[in-house]
Amino acid sequence: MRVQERFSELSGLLLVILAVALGQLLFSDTIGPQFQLAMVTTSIAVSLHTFSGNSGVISFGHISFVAVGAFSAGLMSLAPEQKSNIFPELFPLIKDQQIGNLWSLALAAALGAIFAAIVGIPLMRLNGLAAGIATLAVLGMTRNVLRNWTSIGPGAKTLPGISETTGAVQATVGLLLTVAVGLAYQQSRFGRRLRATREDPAASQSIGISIYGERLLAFVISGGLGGFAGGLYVHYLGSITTEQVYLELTFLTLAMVVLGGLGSMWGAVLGGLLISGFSSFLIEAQKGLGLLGREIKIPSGSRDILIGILMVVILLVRPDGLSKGGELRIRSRRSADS
Amino acid sequence: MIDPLPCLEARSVSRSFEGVQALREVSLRLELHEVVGLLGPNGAGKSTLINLLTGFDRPTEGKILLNQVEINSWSPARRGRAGLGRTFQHGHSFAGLTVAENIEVSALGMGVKPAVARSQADELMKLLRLSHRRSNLACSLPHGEERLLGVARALATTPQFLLLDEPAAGLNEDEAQEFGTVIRMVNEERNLGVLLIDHNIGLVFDVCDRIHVLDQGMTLATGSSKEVSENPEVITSYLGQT
Repeated sequence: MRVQERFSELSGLLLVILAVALGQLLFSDTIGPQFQLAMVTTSIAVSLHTFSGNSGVISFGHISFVAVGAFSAGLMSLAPEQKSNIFPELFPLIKDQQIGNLWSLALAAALGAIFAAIVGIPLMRLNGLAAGIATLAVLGMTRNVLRNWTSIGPGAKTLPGISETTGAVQATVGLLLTVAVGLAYQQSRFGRRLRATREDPAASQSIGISIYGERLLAFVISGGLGGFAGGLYVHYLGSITTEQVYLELTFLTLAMVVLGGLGSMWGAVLGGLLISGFSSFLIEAQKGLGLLGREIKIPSGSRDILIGILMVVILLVRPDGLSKGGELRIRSRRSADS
Repeated sequence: MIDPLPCLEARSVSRSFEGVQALREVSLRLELHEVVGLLGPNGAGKSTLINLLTGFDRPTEGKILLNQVEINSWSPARRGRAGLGRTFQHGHSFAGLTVAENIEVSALGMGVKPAVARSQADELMKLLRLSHRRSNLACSLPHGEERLLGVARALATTPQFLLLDEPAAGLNEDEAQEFGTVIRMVNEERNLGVLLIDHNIGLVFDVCDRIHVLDQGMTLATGSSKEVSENPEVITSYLGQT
């Protein structure tokens, strides 16, 4: 891929993300936090895309890595005194240490990648539905371990009091970083080889590509990005329970990637921003919302139903998702002519 | 010690599928510098033999050897990296990638740098007259050109041995003749052994040094074009019906 093509893909995404960041500043008094949430959840969608979009294997267990990142970043950001009081059963290494915001994000990314490597070594040998179901099993196991093993986490309790460092700047920079790493992988020889296995497994093997090796690498990078996004998420929320990084977030993230268009980074970003925006709007509408001088209130629980309906409608109209699997490219007039 | 002569060999290979004997004790040897044709009616076991040689299927009996080393347990990817390139009867192009990307990724599979992969792709597109299709998606190609793309993709792995499964299907007579010239050229210039399956008997007889005829999973005849074309059994069971 030529430098010009690489840059045209990056620049399109850059513009969109910066436009959202600008919107966040303009509406910082009212819906600024929703913009930040959209950027954080889009980072999660981008991390899922890095594996599923490039390999064509849907991972239902991706939120496991987000959970590991969120809990590790959250726990390690808390002061030792707080942890001793609320979670006395924690291992001393976790209980007695505290790290700063940036280190907690780095730790989240590293643990996400390590966990993905451990899980990926056996799982990446599977194909199709078997792989999907196995990743779902990993999600269930991760959630149960986090919920019950009180030496490594808060268990069924809420993890409270985490510094809310994911504001306008961290959300924007975090998303840009996730997109940059994801795109760099996608455009690298490794990403291109993985996409060949997605297009035709038999042919890719005939040209010497190891499907297992390429998938495992993508899974680890995707796990690392997922962990990092989990760190961003916990620093946005300020407190977290295992249920917030489980099935509902899994459904939302999959909806983002599939609706946006599985297979393209642009699809993950577009789907992430749109679904998150729509979801935030519906949450407000469930509470009651004044819009154009009228009061809108929808029954609680409507959000998931309406997102489900939106997903079905868009997939009926555009089965390949909004991006149709293509990237957003900004071309200069000269390169467009050539 | 003298290096053994590079060759790809099937030694007494058999393959049965739930009672159906697709191949029975077939032996075939392919050396560098030569183009060997593999002929036979539909269902004779030609594609099965290519699948056994390239690791997409395993023989129930017999051995596959590459440069005198048994490779029965090697995966298709490992065989690809070791110098076995192939095309598929049904195309198997990377449909969502462009023609150039199809060839580039093939070179990348071998571990070359992206810039080298790009220049190899340019050269191969020129060789197989695909340059005008460079930016077209592979799924939009007509059948004939899709087969040529398969050949370009296999060549991008810089193989020692190239196994072509009906590469000329979909080409007209002139194009097939031109394709034959390309096969001979790559065989000579790139110093590689070619195994060619095609129903275009004129092409096979024209291009190949030796021909191996299969019928109902067994070797019916082997020899030069002349020997094979004059073999009464081949005439009766294969040539007579085409």
